Amino acid sequence: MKYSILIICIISVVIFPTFMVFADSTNSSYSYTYWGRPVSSPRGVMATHSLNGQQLGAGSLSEPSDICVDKSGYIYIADSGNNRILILDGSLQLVDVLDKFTMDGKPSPLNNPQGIFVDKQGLIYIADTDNRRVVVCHLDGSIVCEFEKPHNEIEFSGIDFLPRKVISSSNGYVYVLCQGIYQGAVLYDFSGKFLGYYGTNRVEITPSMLFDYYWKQIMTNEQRTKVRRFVPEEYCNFDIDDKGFIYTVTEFTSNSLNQVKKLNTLGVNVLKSSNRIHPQYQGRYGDLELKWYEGRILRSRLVDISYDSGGFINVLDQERGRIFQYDTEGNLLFVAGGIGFQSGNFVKPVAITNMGSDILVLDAQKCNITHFALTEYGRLIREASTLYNDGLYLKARELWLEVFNRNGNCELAYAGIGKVYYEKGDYAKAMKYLKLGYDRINYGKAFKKYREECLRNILPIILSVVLLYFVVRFGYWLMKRANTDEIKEVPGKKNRIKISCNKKRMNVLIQPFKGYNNYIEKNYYPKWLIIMVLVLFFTGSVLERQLTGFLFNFNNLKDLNILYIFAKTVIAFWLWVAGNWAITTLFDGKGTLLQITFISAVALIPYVIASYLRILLSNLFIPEEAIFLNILFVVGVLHSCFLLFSGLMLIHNYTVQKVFWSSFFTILFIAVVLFLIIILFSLYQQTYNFFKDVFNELYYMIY
Amino acid sequence: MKRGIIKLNLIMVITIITTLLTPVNLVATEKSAEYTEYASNNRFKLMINETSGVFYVEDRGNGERWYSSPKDCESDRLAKGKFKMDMYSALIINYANPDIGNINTSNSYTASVRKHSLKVFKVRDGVCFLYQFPDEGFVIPLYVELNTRGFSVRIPLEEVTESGLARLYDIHILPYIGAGSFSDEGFLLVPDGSGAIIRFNNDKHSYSSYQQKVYGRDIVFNLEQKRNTTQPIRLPVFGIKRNNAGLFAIISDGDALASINADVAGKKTGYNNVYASFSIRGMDTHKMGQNLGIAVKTTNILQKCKLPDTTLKIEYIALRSYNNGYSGMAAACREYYEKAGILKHRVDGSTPLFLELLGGIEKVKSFLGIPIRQIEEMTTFNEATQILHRLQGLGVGSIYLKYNNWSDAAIRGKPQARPSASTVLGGNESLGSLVRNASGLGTKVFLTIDPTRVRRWNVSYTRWNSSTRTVAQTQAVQYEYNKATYFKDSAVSPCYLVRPTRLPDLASDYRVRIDDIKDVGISSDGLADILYSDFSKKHPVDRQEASLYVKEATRILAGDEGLLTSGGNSYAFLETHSIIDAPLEHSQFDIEDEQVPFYQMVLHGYIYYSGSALNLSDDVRLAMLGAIETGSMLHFYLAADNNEKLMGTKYDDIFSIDTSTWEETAAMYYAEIRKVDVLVYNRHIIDYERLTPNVSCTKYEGGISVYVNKSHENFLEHGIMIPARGYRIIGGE
Repeated sequence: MKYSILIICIISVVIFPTFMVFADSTNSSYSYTYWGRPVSSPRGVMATHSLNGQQLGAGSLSEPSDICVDKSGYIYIADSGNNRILILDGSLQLVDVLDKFTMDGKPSPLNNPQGIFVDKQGLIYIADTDNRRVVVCHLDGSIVCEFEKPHNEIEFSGIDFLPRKVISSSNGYVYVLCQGIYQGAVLYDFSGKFLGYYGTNRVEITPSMLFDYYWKQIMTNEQRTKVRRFVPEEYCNFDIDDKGFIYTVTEFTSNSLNQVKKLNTLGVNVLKSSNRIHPQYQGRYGDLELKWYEGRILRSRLVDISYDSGGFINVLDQERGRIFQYDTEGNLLFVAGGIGFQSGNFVKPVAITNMGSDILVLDAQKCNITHFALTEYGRLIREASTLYNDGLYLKARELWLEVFNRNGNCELAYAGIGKVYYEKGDYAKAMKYLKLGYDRINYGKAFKKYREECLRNILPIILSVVLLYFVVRFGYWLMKRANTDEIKEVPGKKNRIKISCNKKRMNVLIQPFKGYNNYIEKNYYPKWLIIMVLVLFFTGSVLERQLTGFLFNFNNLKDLNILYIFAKTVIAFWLWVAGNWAITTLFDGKGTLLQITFISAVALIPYVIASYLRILLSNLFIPEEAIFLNILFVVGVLHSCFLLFSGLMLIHNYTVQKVFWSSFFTILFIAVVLFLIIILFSLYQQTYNFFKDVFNELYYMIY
Repeated sequence: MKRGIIKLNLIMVITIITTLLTPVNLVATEKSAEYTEYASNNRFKLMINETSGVFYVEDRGNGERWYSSPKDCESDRLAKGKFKMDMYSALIINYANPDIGNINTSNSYTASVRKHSLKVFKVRDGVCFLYQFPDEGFVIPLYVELNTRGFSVRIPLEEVTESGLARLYDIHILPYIGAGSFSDEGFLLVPDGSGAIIRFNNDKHSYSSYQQKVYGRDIVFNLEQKRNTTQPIRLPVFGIKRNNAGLFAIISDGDALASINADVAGKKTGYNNVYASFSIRGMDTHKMGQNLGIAVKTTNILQKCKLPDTTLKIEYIALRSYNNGYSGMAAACREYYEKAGILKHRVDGSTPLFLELLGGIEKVKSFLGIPIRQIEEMTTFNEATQILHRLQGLGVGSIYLKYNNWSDAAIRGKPQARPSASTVLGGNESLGSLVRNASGLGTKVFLTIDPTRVRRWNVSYTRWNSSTRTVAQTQAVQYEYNKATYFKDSAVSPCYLVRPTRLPDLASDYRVRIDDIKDVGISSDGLADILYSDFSKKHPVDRQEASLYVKEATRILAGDEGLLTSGGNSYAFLETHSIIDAPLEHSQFDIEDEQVPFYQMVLHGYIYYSGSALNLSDDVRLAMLGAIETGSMLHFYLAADNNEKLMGTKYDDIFSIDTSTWEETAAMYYAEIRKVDVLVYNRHIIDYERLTPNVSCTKYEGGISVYVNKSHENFLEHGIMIPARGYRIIGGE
């Protein structure tokens, strides 16, 4: 452990240039838990310093919009408002200001250049936005070639060609993002020939879109033209790695998914989304929480992306001025930045780039660049995650332990440690840590091994217990048979009924018609049975939520809402009963309220039994065996439905068809009641708020 | 050749013209500014312009003049309109009609001087400017009085009259006093955290100005979003260094109402200025119709009560040229506190390690699937004893043990009136044995109370009799803020503020209980860290008055030995034994240029202080070097249990707490701190210098210098090598 610190120190001495370092721990950073909640974390990167134009010695910047670093470490800033390019060296000293551009010896100035990129040969690509061209030039400002609006292409007719961002791949293709062109990046070869579009965003399907789609079917053509069109979201920015993968960001997507993509040469997204986060949040980047505030939804507006040499991806959020760093598996490592006039915070960050593992961010409103360097923690977690993702679990172990020691909230570290225990064969410990790290896949594997171990130990015991049980059971059966025969012959009435009821009750589950008939004939509907079933139904639901095995349980155990479960079970049951009674009374049903209650309760028994069994088995099974749990569930539900159906037929004296319709209307009835309840509730809330506001208003007036 | 002669001639002509013109210019200024002497002593004289209200104080020794408004601000081309008028003014006021709620601004030049409503009276040692604002209906007296160190400026609020409907909310005093122009060199000292300097003309025009409330934000006010964390102001001071002279200001009264403001030349005006303003009435906002989905209307809720009977008083201390930088300012500040009898004792040289231990926590445990809140131990009293043993074994000779959450009341977040040791942690017996063993282990135990914040109430401290009220009379609820969205987080249980008037009661209830346990000290969270007013109708308390109650509470808690406070606001200095979580850093506002350990330069030698916990810092070595640089002690926040137990609890921002991870580091770093402290513990810091952004030199009395290098490369200067990420002590052998 000590050694690793030492090694890291040595490495850092070699790599990191001198910048002012702050050791401020007032505002620690955060990361997201499995449940999508932000939780404190040490900072992964720290702002070392920020420089504005004056401090750089270049006069104030004017709406700078892009920044990039070439392979020898020089930094290029597109100072758009001043129509120039600033070049800085690795220690952020101004080297050159490019403001004179020439083409064939004649001056050809830039006009609001918004994008810049430097390729391996040192050629500078500038998206010269308001000149409607992309220029490629040398360091002296002499323009080598221009890319303009493709001629003779039908798609471009009537479109203003405004290139915003540009990159080029090592094999000579040039990708240009243009304002208002949503088909993807405009692709050229180096000679300037238009090749087509690259990596079009797909239209994300949302409910409102489906609704519009059906609505459009019944509209006239004229109306249709006035409805909004669903077009793919425009890419906001992109970056390219050494292997030619292109990383894109989209400012918003309608369902907040796929805001970040990693496209291969065919334009197919190959980015993995993290499996260490609740399925609800998988595939989402930036901040996970949306906040509705003053008529606007506040969510991450991803405006730039940068890829660093270690394979990590940095994403820049303009809404809250944040940098998010992800590893190759899509796991969030840390968050940095914020909004404000403090060093390391931004007002309108527009571009991000990497200088080794350091990060540079350009702010268009503060007109400055901010340099971030990794902290000790940042280095640790990056190294650990690299080793882990490469499958070197044991090597990663020390680092994960170190990360865990520095940050007890880091779920990745728990998973990393768990995985090591798994490799070592300590399955019980592995399960503990993998569970804390919410790594269900590896937990499943560890659990399987653990179960095998356990079974090996206790199988003989289980077998003997089972054998013993059958022996005892056989003996009991023999005895019981003898006894019942005896009792049957006794003429006393009370005993007899009890026993036959006992038998019939069991029969109900298998032969419902016969069984129900028994009760109906005797007009005997035990209320304790109803209560017991309901109690079991309710507790079963609670336990199912809380005690279902980790591998099958995606509920946050801390957010238990007993009232909600009560409503979902007991109140829903009574709603059904009431609804059915009301409907069947209209449909000439013969059944009484008590009968319906009884039938419904009895019908619940298989479902309840199945749910208890599932709770038990889910703690013993692994995901591959989930099919058994599903079968159990389906059988339980079907059996319950069958019982309910036959029971209703019997008590109401209905045909199958009639039972079906009455059930359908009962469900409709429940829906209407729920709807009314919701309306009443929201009305109540509104009235409450109204009076509260009136009260406050009056109060402040008087006060 | 010919050309040369012409050039020479030209130069001669120019020199002659300038020499001719200079006296004329002098006469002109003298004439336009008819200054009359109002007071003088052997060091200073006070000159007043009776018509404009502009005054200056002249240092007889060096002739340095401190003007209340810049001498040639007429010629400032940058300032236009209101900003120009502000420069001529001694006062800027914000006022409002509380029934309407719209806030207006006026300055004394436009609203009073130009309307010939300024009256000037001579008072003992000085002058009283009676600013009448005829349109607004205010009369504000501003006293300026000379003393031997400089001069003081005060506004006794009981002499302020408000005749119309409008009420005063903010008063800005002497916004451009001693301001530095484009041609001056110097800096502004602002007390942001440990202290920071803003250099004159630093060209940071795209950044917002500096403004911070003294002792932090008044948390009784509703804040919907909390965007950034800043280091609060702990000392109510500011300063200007201009060329060869320095002016240092201490807000000696009304400090709890004050804010410090600063700006650089080139934005609004051509001057670099720093000054104090005072919020003398409460102002809050409320949003109507937020839950109704209609257009949200924001209303200002303004306090209507009479003005507090505080005096707003700023002491300006003129610094001589030989000691005019921030070290001179620190010396002046030290001297001020010493003369006022606030800093009395000297530290004993024991070099304590500040060890904060977390006792118990409230954790949600599930019983048969049902979540139940129960108390769990993080560090029992026996475990604490063991930790002390181990640390002593590793060579830590002296420890200040701050024991948090040691009683059930503290763990449950209830008011700690007569608490007893939590049985989960071992009970009273066990605590007793910890305390008995501690002194043998070089440890002083401080049991923590936070009298200010509670999550639940109890029988004697109820929400009705003890909860602080907002302007709207609701309980002042303190929500946690969501780290991602910046908005209030309703998922975390909020806490409430104990009414300032109840703090002394709670303190004496606690004191009684602590007196039963022998030889135990008290540490307090909150008291020297947050300060809030209370708007409860029966007895509203403004922040200044609240600070008196807080002082009373600290006096009770401190007893004879003093209080281990966290935060370290200056009003608690008198009763402070030592300070934990003192500011070692500044807030890194863009407009600031450099952090300076001003706070430490004032306190070093009087009180042992430490910064925030090293184990929670981003870079431990860096934090240690920061401690050496600022003459601080080390602070660790530990527990016997490991990090995992805090996951998912409300303590999860303490993300690294395991003692076994940190004890060796703590001991190792302690040895290094000890080496330095042995030499310097009883010496003042007389200077602090930054050689490069990452290399600094802290100079103590007696010729001891401590060089600290935070960079990753060795640093060499004048044959002195300071190792990378290391330090070096020069002198004092």
